[in-house]
Amino acid sequence: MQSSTTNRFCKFCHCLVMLLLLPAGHAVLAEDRAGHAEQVQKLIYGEILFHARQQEYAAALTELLLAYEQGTLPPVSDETKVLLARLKLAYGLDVEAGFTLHDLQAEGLPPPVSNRAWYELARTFFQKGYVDAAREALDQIRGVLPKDLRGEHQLLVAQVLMAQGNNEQAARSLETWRGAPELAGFAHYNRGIALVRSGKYAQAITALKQVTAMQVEGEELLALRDKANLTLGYAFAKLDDLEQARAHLQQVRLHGPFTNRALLALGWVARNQGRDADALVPWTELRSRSTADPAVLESILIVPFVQRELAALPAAIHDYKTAIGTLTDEMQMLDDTRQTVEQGAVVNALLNKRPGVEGAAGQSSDAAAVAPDARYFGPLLASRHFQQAARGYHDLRSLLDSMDQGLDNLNRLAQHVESTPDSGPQPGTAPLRSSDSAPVTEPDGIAKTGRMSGSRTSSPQWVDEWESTEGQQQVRHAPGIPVLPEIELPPDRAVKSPQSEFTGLPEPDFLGLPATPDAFGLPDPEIIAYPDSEILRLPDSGKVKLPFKDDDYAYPDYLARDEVLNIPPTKRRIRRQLARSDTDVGPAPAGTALQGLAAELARAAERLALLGETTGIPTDDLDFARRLASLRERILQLRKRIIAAIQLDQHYARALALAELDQRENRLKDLLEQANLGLAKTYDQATDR
Amino acid sequence: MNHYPKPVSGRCGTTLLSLCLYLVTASICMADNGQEPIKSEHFRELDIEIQVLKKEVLKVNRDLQVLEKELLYPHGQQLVVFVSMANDTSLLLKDVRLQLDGQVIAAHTYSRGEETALHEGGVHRVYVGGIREGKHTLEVEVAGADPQGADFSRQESRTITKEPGTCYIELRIQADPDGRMPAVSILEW
Repeated sequence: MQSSTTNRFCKFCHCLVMLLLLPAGHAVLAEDRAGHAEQVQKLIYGEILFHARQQEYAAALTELLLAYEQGTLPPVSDETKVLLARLKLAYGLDVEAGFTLHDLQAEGLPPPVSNRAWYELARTFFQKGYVDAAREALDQIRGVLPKDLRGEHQLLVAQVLMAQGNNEQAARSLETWRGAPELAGFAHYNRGIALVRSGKYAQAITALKQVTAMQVEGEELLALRDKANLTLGYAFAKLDDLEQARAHLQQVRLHGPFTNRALLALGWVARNQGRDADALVPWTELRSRSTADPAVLESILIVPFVQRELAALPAAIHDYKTAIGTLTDEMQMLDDTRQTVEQGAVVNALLNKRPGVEGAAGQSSDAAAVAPDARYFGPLLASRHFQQAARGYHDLRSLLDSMDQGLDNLNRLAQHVESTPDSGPQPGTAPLRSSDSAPVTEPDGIAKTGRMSGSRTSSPQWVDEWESTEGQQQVRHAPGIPVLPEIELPPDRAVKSPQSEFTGLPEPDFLGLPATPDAFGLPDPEIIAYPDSEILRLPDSGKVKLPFKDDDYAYPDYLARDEVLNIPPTKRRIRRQLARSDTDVGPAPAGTALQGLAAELARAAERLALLGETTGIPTDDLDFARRLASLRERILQLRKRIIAAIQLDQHYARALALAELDQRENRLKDLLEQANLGLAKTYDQATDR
Repeated sequence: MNHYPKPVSGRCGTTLLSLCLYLVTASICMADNGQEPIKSEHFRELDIEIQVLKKEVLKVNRDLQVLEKELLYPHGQQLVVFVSMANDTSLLLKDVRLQLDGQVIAAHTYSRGEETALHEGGVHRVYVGGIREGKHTLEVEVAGADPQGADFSRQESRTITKEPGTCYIELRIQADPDGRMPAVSILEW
């Protein structure tokens, strides 16, 4: 009996304990599940980082946006909020990135967190020539910048100011250098250029001498010193100090990217000092060099001219005849090159070539390495416009590859649907994306073209279209898309080293100076290409070792000022719609330049929609076959659009190349005319004697 | 007509010299203004078009991923396997091989870039596929090199229980607490 009572009591206690522990157990279980969910969120975020660190920005963005949608991101810190903007920027959606940053700012994001992103946005805009938009982005930077960015920010601010014509303000902005000591040379040089442009030669000389006084090593800094000496020669000449000009020109290295210009200038200094015979020394040296350089072509004309003046008529006649032969040969080569450019082969080869940083400054022969006909395209390769065209081309090819991959996946999904009529769950199904099913790429980044054979068979229309337009081209797989600068600068952002491009002709009306109020002053920055000696330098990410990157050039050629667009009401509505639904952008941005870009983006998106790229099938339609068909149609339409954009890009690059050839042809024609005239005069002079 | 200057002196000569030097240092764009719109406006148009296309490609990729998940794993029969590396480890990861119930489901060789990304906080989704509910045996084989450069290989096995919903497995590569020896943990989340 007692035992029975004890047993009942024990059972009661057991139940009581269980009842008491039940909520606690639930709590532990809930806590455990929350911990698991948090860990999964971290894994998903880590996967986004995994893609981002490898510059797979499209994959990272897709994952990130999906995670946002599905709420599978960990509670976001300020840094992770900025990550979305920075990923968009790295992927090339810089306008959207700008809006995202404005949104974050409106949410009260502390400025120091977003400063780096604003700087990167400004730099991207500046590289694209959107100077006003770059200025707006720079204006958003508040407070103290990260230490590693201070110098680059200072240089970028000065460049933007100079691009806007505020040279004096730019010079002032560089008076106190706040960056790394090893970058000080760039600041002094840029300040010198800003002062030259504002006509303050004496101050410019002081700044430039700081560059030449530096003990430097490495090709990039040696080339910078050469440029400083070349510009010092110019500045001293403007101050009528020819001896000093000569002294600095002589300090330019004999074998460097600026040697030819220095030799040409030295000859002119000697001649203007009345030492004609001495002038022949550098010019004779110069004319023995490659005729691809315009400086050399001019020297072969100057030498016989001086010989005629010195009454060395037989030598002058001989050299004029040689010059005419050389110029004629050069003209022929130029014509041949023009034909190949018009056929598209050369430009496509240049676009296909992945830019690198190999080669010393100014000595790179990448253009010639692409094709012998491309020897004239050094300045073209170095130009901002061509660089942007090449980047756009690679981005588009990458998009095309992405769509190919999408079609491939669709085909597999379609096969899956066909094999499972109810489209039900298929445990154990082979994964669509595992490491084994990833697209196969060659080590150099060229995709195996055969990998899409299945989908090509099923889509003859676009296959025919593509093959008919792109027959001779290699398909490139996923080249670097614009970089997330903090992480790494990919090689394809590099810019080819420039070749010297100048017109060292002695008379202002010989080749025609640009129309400027002061023919002897610096021309309007809007209509000239700044000389290499005045090209500004912005080293990358605080590293000096990367020579001749895109960032190094302030504006090697024409810079389009941002257009402040007058947006009609209907377009404003479109922009608002875009802002709300399509581009993840929030309230109106602060800057008119960014608004202008957004309006253009909205119009382009509207065109895309009108062309029927999006179908009416809801994305949550339960009929998988319909959804697959709809998605396939979207991809095919989008693919056509990408191909059209590639053709537009090629056309644009070809126009740039032909414009470059036009310049050279005009110059050659003038030189040839002068050579013939000079020869005739020399014959006359000989007859008279 | 002589197109080249004769030797001159004084202010005029110096000015001329300045001009010459300017021409030497200045690279003048010979294109007339008519050429410039080719560069600026066309580029801007192209740039905007590329941005629109990029955005559309993102949308398509997103829709494709959603469709794929709904189609292949409509009721959450999904197994996802991630590879991560502990922050403080300096191990070099080379290969990962997975077997589920004795069948090889994934094998991946890590490139330098992927390996670096793992060390910088990235997490690699090495496998995604379907799996039936119930108990399964997951076997993992990891090969790499320790900080001293010596090759290592580790094998781990774990019985996982697939319940309704997606099953997340993390393979965490780390050095063991004692002796920096490589270790692999199979974690089920």
